[in-house]
Amino acid sequence: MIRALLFKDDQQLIEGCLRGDQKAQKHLYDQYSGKLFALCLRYMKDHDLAQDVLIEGFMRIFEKLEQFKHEGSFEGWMKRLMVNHALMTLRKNRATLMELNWDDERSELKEEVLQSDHLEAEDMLSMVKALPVGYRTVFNLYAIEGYSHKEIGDMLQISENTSKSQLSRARVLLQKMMHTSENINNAENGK
Amino acid sequence: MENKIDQLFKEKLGQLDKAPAPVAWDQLERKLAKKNQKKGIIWWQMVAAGLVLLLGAKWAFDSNDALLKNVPDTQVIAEDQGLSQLALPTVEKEPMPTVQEVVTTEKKQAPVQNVQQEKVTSEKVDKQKTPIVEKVGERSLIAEVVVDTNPISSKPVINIEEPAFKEPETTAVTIKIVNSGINQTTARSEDTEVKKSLLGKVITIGKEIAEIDDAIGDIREAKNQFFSKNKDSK
Repeated sequence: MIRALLFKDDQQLIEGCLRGDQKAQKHLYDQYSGKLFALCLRYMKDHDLAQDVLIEGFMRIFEKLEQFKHEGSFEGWMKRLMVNHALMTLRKNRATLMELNWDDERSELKEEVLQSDHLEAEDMLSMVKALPVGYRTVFNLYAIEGYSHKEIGDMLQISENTSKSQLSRARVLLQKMMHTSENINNAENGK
Repeated sequence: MENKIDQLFKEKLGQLDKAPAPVAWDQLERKLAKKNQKKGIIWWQMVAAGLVLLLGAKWAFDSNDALLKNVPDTQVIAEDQGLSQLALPTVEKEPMPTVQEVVTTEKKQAPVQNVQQEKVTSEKVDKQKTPIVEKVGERSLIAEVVVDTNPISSKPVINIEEPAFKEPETTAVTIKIVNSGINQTTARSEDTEVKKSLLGKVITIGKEIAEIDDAIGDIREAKNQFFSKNKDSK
């Protein structure tokens, strides 16, 4: 049986992986590990821990691959599995994800134009990683993954209100960080 | 305002690509290999392992056979000599292509035996060799039977044919199954029945060969049980 080295699309890739074809599995990993690793970094912050989550997450993807019904995006399906595994790992490592009463500041977000051209993706990743874990998790889930507060509440076992407040606090912090970065940038450029 | 921050971060971080360390794939690959094996997709590897076990068992039997070979009494006579000295009315005789010639030893033997098949003097202890084309099970084996009529216990009895006198007879029967020179199994038995004809002995030998097959069957079964246990445990 001649096996094609290239896989035309995700469908063939998936079929190959289900057969236990190692080439297909490697190909799948090569195609998606970059994005999925970036996702892990957003949640785990620590590089080594993010790598562990990536490897275990991929194992889950391969194990549950036959459950993928080709409804919706394959990448989206994989990302969901990876997010779930990241959350589970966070849960294991900490008693509670949410910092209660951590930040009493209830400053509102300032309405302003955000200078963001100078910001590289790496900088923004660093900012997200700098957030406390509760803010970071909710912000990731809501702003980047696109979950609703209700869904976040279910996933993290918190109330919708907690989710909302964690999110707004995350945004306030991020804005401050961006200001700082902007100021630094301005200073560097002699503005 | 909220949307802007969300949007900004989503744009730049949503599609971010960061390569993990190469070692990450190595670790994943190892885990996958274990999983793939468990799935049993590579069944033939199990079959190959089973064959290795079988061959190992046969090799072990061969080792035993090699040990037995060192016993001085057990020797193989040249085919022609053996045939000419045998008077075997009911046994098929066929030339053995793989038989090699070995010198016999001579042993002294006290009483004169009524041995039809021996032309040699009573001082000779004859090893009779019966080449047999045996049908064992569904296989055709060429079995070579060396009947040591003077076993280590050194009873001076020779006759295989129905003797005139009823002296109890002990014979050691060494069975060599020659099958394309690769696999050899050896079994020994002592037959103390007096009136058993040579054909009867041949039948007994055939049964022993069948028992050897059963032993191999047991090994197979043990192997299967071993592998099925491995499969179940996670």
